[in-house]
Amino acid sequence: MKRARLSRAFLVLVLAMTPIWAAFGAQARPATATVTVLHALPGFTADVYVNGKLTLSGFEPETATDPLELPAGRYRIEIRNVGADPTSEPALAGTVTLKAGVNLSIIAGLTEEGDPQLNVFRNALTRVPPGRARLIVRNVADVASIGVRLDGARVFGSVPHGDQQKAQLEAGGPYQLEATGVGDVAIGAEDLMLQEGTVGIVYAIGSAGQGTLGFMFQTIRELQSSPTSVLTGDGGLATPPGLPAWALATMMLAALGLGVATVLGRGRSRDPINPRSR
Amino acid sequence: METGEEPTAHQDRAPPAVAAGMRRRLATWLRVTSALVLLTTPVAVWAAWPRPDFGFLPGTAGASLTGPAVPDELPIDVGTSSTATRALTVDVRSARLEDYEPPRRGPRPVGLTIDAIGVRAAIVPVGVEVGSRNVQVPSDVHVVGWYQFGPPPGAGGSAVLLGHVDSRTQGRGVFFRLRELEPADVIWVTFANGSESPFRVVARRSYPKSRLPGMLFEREGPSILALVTCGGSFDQATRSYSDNLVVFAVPRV
Repeated sequence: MKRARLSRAFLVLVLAMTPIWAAFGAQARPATATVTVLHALPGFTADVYVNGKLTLSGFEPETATDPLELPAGRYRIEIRNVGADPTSEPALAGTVTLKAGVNLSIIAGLTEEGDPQLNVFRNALTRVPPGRARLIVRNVADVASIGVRLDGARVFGSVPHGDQQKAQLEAGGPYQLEATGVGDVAIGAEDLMLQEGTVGIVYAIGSAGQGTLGFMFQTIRELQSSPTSVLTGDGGLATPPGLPAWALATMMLAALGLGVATVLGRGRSRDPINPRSR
Repeated sequence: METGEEPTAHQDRAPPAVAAGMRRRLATWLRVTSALVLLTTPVAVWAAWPRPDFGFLPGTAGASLTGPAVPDELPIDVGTSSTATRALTVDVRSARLEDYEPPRRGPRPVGLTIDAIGVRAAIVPVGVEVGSRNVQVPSDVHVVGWYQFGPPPGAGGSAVLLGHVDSRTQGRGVFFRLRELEPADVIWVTFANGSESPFRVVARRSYPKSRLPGMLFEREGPSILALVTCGGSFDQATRSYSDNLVVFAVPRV
C-alpha cells in the first residue's frame, strides 16, 4: 500500500516536470535557416534588397557571402544594379521560404537563354563516410547540359541546366576537374581539392555566347564521420595474464618439495644411543 | 658370530644417527624453501599484474569539447518593408574555384619518442582503408600511423596515433608495451618543420572493438593525443584481439 503511494507520487512528480523538459527541447531546436548567397551574373555589380531593405551593396560577380543564420520565414529578394534607385524595377526578384534547420544556397545565375535567374538549392547535411568527400556540380550557366570529368574519368554524364548531380569520392586531390557543355563547349579545367568530411559544390556559371564560362565553389564542412575500427594486431603475443605458466610450474614444484620434505621427515627415527633399535 | 641375520653393511655407511640428522636437515630445508616459494610466487604475480584502466578522459572533468560557439546575433536585420537605404555589413569573399584554398592544419608529425617504454619510431600519415570504415594501419609494425583526416598533435582536437601491438609475421609491434604507460609519463612528438612537443599521459582505457568513444575523433576543442593499439583477449580462430587499448595524453605545459 505504502509502496503504491510512493510510486504514484513519483509519477506525479515526473509528469509535472514534463512541460519543463519540453520547453528545453523546444529551445534546442534551431529556429533559423542557414543561407549562402552567391553571385554568378557576369558583368553585373549588384545591390541586394531583402524584404525591401538594402542588405548588400556592391555585390561583385564570382563572390559569395559567408553562411548566414536567418530566422525562418518568407523573404522577398530583389537585385538591382549597384546604386540604382530602390524603387526602380529590379533586374532580378524572387521569394524564398526559409524553414528552420535548412541549409540553402541562393545563387543568381543565368537561364539557358542567358537571362538572370534566381536559383535556390537545398544543401543536404548528411554525413560523409570516413576518408571520403562529396562532390556536387550545379549548372547555372546558359548551357543546357554539362558533362564532368575528374582526372580524365567521367564523373557525371549530364548535369541538366538549373539542376545538380552528386558523387562520393576519395578525399584528397588535387583532382583535375574538366567540364564541357553540349556541343563540346569547354567550360573550363581547374584543380579541385576535396577535403575529407566535407561537401564540395562546384557551380558552372557564365555565358557561352559571351565567353564568361567558369566555375564557382562552395564548401560545407563538419560533415565527417568517425572510422569504426583500428585493427592493429594479429600476433596473439599480448594476451592478458591469467596465472602465468611459470608461476604455476614454480608453485607445483614447491608443493612437491613440501611433500618430499614431509616424507623425508617421517623417515625411521634413530635412537642415537641405541642405533639398532626400531 | 651370527650368520647373515644382521647386515654387516652398517660398517660401510655413515652412522645411522648422522644419516637421520642429514635427512632431517634436508627435510627442514625443503620445507622452508618450498613454503617461501609458495608464499612469494603469488606476490610476484600480483606485482607484475598490469594496472587497471586509470585516469579521467581529457575533457570530461568539466571542460567542454565543443569548438567556438556560433554567434547568436544575426548579421542581417530583416524587418518588414522599409524605405531605409542603409546597407548592413555582410561578409563576402571570392568564390572563384581557382581562389579556393583548403584550410591548413599545421605541420604533420613525423617522429614519436616514449622513453618510459623504449619507443622511438617514425610516424606516417594514414587514412581510411579503401572500401571500409577502418583506419588504415602501417604495414610495418615498427612504424606509427597518424590519422591524417584528424588534427595533428597539439593543434586542437584529438590527434590519433596508432600502432601495432604485434603481428603474426613480424612479432612484437611498436606499441607492444603501451599498456605499461603510467600517469605523467612523457611522450615527445617531432614535426615535419623540425619542432617538438611534449605530452603527458593522463588516462588509459580499453574499449571493445568497434566501440571506440566518439571523442577519440573529435576535431575541435582542447588538444588531446590518443595512442591506440589492440589489447584484450586474443581469438586464435580469427586472429584478432577483442579490444582497443587507448592511452590519452595532453600537452605538457
